[in-house]
Amino acid sequence: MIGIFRSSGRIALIGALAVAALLGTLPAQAHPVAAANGGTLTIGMTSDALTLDPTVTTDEASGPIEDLLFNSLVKFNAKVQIVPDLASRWTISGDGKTYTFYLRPNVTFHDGSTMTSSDVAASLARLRDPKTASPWASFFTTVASVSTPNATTIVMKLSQPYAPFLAVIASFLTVSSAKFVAAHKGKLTRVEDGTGPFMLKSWVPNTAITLVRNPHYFLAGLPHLDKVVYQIIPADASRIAALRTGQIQFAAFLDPIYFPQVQQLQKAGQVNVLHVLDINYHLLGFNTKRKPFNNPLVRLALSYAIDRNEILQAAGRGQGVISGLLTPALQSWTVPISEYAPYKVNLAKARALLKQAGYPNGFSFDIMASHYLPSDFTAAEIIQQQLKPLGITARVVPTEWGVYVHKWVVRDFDSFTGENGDWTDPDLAMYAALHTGGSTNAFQYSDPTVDRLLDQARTTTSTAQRKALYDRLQLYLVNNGGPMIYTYASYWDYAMSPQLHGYTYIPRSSYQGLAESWLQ
Amino acid sequence: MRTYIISRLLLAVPTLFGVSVVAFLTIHLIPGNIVEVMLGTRTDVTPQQVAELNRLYGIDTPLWRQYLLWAGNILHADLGFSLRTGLPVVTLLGSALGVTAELTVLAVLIALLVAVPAGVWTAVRRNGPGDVAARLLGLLGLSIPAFWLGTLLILAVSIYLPWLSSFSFVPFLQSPARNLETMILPACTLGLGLASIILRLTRSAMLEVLHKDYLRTARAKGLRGSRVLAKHALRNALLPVITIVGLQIGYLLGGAVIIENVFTLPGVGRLVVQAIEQRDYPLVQSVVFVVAALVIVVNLLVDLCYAWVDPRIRYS
Amino acid sequence: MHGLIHESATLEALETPAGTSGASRLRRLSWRVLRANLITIAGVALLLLFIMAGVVGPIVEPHPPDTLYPTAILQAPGGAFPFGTDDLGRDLLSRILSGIRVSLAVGFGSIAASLLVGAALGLLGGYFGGAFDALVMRVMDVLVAFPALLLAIALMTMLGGSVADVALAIAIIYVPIFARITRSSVLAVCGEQYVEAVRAVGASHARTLLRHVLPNSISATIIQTSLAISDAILIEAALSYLGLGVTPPTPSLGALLTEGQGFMTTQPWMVIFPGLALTVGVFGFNLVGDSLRDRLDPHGREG
Repeated sequence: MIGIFRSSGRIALIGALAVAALLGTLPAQAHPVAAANGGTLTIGMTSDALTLDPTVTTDEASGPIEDLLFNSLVKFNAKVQIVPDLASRWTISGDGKTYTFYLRPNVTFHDGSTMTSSDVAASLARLRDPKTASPWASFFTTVASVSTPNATTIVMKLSQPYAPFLAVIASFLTVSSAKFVAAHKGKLTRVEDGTGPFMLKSWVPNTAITLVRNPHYFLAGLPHLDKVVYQIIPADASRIAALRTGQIQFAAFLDPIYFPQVQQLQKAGQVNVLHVLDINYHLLGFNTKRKPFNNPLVRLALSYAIDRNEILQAAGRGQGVISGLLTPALQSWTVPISEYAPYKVNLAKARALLKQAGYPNGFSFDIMASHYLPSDFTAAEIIQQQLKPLGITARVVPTEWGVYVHKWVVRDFDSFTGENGDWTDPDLAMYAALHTGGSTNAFQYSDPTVDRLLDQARTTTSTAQRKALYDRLQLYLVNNGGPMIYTYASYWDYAMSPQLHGYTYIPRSSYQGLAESWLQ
Repeated sequence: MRTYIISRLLLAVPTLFGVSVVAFLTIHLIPGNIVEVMLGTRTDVTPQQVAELNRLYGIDTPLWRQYLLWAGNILHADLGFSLRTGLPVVTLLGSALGVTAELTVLAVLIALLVAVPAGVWTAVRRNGPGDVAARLLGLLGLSIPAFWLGTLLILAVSIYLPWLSSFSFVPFLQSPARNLETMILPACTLGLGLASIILRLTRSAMLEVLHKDYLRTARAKGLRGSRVLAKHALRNALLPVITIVGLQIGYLLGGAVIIENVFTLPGVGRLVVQAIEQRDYPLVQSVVFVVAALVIVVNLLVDLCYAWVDPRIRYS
Repeated sequence: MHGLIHESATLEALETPAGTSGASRLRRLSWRVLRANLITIAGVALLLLFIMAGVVGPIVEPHPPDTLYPTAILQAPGGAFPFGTDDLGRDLLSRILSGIRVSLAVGFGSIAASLLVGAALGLLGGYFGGAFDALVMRVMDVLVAFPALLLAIALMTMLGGSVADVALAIAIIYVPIFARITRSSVLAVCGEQYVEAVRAVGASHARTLLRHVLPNSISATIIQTSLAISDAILIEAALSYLGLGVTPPTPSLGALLTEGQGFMTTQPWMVIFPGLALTVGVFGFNLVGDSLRDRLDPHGREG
């Protein structure tokens, strides 16, 4: 028997291994033979989409549909790394200011016309046009000029190096047919002409949105599904029931109250469940222009006093992980929480810090919380109890969502509990929230060290250098009483029919993975 | 009679004007506007972008101008467009009103079916144990909070009739059977409070009528008891019952808000609550105005009925 | 009540066969009295229970309502926690007692305020008439056109979350109702001749109003008060259920129901007990209101 693995056999074996390795690195065209074509996937959605125009999308219900209708120049993979999408490759100049994208040839829009670089340029121009009033335009302010030397090349020149530029493109830029947009005068709420694996077939408001397969999708062999239907089922309990009866085959759950029921379905073999970490973290934020939170020692004291695990267990029902600012979902950028001293509850240290700050007998303050974010509301109630031993009286103020946002905008609060998103790049997560004068810096926080580090990390092109800088930032913010106390990042449950195969979860674009999945 | 109608119609005009002002002001006086809610706490926008968005959504002009624009459109029967979805208010209101109307009609039917016979029965057996029990039950029905009852029913159904709880709302035209399955529980919950009111009303109306002389005359003439009951007593008792049902439209619409929330039905109550949450100004203003106007119109019709029946009211 | 006894006694006299002993007839009469008064007795009893629970709550409660007991999360009723605990380990009984206090405060506070303002408006408007009356009535019409809960939701979003805010919002909703009832009673009374006689003798407006008009037109308003309190309690609970009610940590019975909803299939007591407490209170007010109506206005001609 051993004789087989002599010379010729060994060569054959090596050859077989080589072929296997090659197959593994081939683009998505080559699929495991098991993929089946056809079928309709019905997804359960909490609410109806508001628009099909990613340029103006700010809600949570429109993204899932847009994920399947459009492409960008680049996109994220499951590890939150940038990979090709419409651009098959790209180059960045040495100074980090010129990005050249080489587009795939023969990509067609849903109306059959061919995509060229001028469509990409037009899409970007529309995003940045003040008349469109896109909330995402501010991410593209560093773009100084755009040129299209030929139909498959587009060059973007930036005014200064901007490290998260590719992440920003992947997150906010989508490509639509310029002619189509012009013909519809920019009103793309209910119509679309993208390049994505699926096309809009019908939209019955508050009932269902139906997409059909794009037969000319630029990735041959994809998509496998014939139809995708987004069924609006507002009540979580009804969505679970619909999964059980097979009425829907895919649904996402973010409220941990329902996780046990979803997992029951899994035990019964009726669904497969992906238990994944969202790129979000929960926080207690302070208004650093109000006493006593203008003193970083006070903020640090509270950070030592709060029991994050108790908050996770009670408010998050244990469905999450304790986290710093950059959550474990951001993979390589995360700092392990073992490096955060205040994450170990230490009431003695908290008392000492308070005394040092001049509040030996505690103080009282308000926590703004909204029922719109139920787990953050509960977190506020728990924090209220946790601070009592220090003589601190916290008052939880339940605030209606619109009023909450308004007060956040005008900075009228002592503190608040809420959620923040990490986006897909540390700069997007941190700059606007922590830089002096940043637009989401509701804390009115201003620290020259932090500003300097943020500016540096944004313009550095070396990933290794950026990592070092963001590590320093995270440690500095936690160990020196930053404007936020981070508690935990929560899980989502994605429940899907056992017949659905080939789905990959990509954070923040969780429905893109359906392009490669199939039903069997 | 004609002067009465005209005077009542004229009186409705300032009321409707007042309603429009209140509908407009209440939503605008709440802190937070549509742009702020839309952007939430996570978008990175410059003040210029916010200004652009304010302009786009028409909230950068003074309030009185916004009011005149909206009120002017209302006078042309143009209810405007939802700022959030871009859909015409009339479409959204139409489908929501259909759901709420179906819910209220079913609730009224259930309430009438249960309460009218019960009211008659208790009137006939006045002060008997059944009467007292029925009155107690009736008052209990008024006392049980709708959202509690609804929640308990959902709980009971999920335990004992699990197949019933898996249905989410389906429009009537799409599938009447499925639609009724989803509507039966909420209709019963909403109908319960109404049943209590109708029970009391039927009972007192029947009591009044039962003592009337003409009934004794009819009996003396030899007509059978139950026929007398059905023909004369019931018919006269029903008029106030029906008018009260009309007057209860305010209560029903209010109760529907809670029920729609508990059972997640896409009716007017949920529409308005969500629109308020999102500060969708045109939607809130137009829907609230239409609902209030409906209440006024129904009340007017009821008053006209009363005036037609009881001439004394006309000349007061 | 007087009238009812009389009527039922007459009927009895007609139906009792001759020759029945006086003692058994008396017994049957007292049983009738009890039955006829059952509603009043039951109402007063429930009401006392509810009010007592709210008043002695702080003394009687086994634990402070907002203290967390992390080791006793979601415990079933029994032992140290007679009604069980919630998902944060808070004692449900104590929270319910606290919620009852809120309901009582809002119920009495809001209706007292709206009664004072509404009855005053109705009294003055009905008595003096003219442009003042017309204006007041138009404003009342506008307020009444909005379904109560919608108006409450809008008001609460504007106002904020203290007990006083909730009471204010509900008071605003009830002013038109009291105004209208008082006004129609006043109109009826003013039509009576004795009022004209009093004025003819030289009594001032104030004296006429307070001494003669008011006492005779108040019965319908009184009936409405008890029922309005039960309504106010329900509205407050509904607002709390929707998340628009009173500030925590003071729990409201409605808020307790919302909290319990997520757990109702596995920990039903979180939903059953708060709702039961609410129903007891509202039922008590309704029973008392109903028996008042029976005594003061048996034929439902007013209000």
